Amino acid sequence: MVKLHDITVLAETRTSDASRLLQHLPGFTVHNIQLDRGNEGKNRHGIAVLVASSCSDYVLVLKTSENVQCIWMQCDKKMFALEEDVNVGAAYINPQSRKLFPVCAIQTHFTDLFEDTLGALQVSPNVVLCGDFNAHVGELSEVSDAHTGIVLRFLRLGDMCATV
Amino acid sequence: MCNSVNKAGQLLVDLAAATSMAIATGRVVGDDGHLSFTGNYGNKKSRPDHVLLSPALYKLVCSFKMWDTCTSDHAALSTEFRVNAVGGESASTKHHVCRIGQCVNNLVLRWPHEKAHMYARHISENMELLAQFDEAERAGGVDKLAFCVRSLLVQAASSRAVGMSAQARCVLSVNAVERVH
Repeated sequence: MVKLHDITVLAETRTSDASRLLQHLPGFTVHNIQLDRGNEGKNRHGIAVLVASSCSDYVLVLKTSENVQCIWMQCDKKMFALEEDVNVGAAYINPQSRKLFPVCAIQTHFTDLFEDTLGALQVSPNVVLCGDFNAHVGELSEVSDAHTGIVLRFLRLGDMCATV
Repeated sequence: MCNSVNKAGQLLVDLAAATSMAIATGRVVGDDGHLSFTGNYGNKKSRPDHVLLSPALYKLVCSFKMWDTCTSDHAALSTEFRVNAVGGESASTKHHVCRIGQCVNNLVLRWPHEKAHMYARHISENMELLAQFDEAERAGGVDKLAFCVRSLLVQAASSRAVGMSAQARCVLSVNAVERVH
């Protein structure tokens, strides 16, 4: 399946060993985040981007995020026949859990991801951000349902003021 | 289809809204919001995997496919883009006609001389890209070398500390501003 694609993102690879990731994929290039030795083989760790040999000259690493598991690639505009390059972000966000990854940790990771995305948009207006966000969006819309948390907080504040 | 919403989902929607990107889930051809995660025993069903696209790329999507994988409890999401076709135009394309809300801004670089030092410093400290430049030089890849040089310049100009890049506005948005004044 990977061989049918120019760029493949693998989330939760559990390894940063390039030779393992490139098994059976001759000619492919891998760009991945370096895992701490203690995190090798563990769930919820590792992200890698595989690039086909036909595209490897046109794909560079733009940035490896420091605070969130995300790697950003810069693809030459020739690949997409666009006027500007295309930045591809590959991300993994841990699922919410009370002990290991509470809501505040999710908020922090999304804030970091947001900053990285803004940085990528500074380099080029063409951005793809993909991966396993452990995000259930249901039927939410970016237009009508954006920033609902803030809106609801203000509404609640308004209710409190009215009560006082 | 997965109808549930969680905190990460709300934040992803916020991120998409704040960056003018579209979440392709349930929107592009071939994506009905299928479930992509089934758990090891097939007992968990959700859609935690998504692709967010900026406007020009959203227009280029020609198909989406979800592949069953036997090696993972997630399905593989595949997005195919149409290149060299109608829809790939931007505001600077020769026969481009601006349309409200549909035009992509272009990146322009400016040269304020007082920031030259910061600019040079960003280039010399971009170790990741310089390493890729060296690798391309060793491999003799002319295309990649040219791409590395261009990326060094654009990344330095676009960094927050340097601030030499800007987005050129669409003709229609310029007209709109002029009319207001």
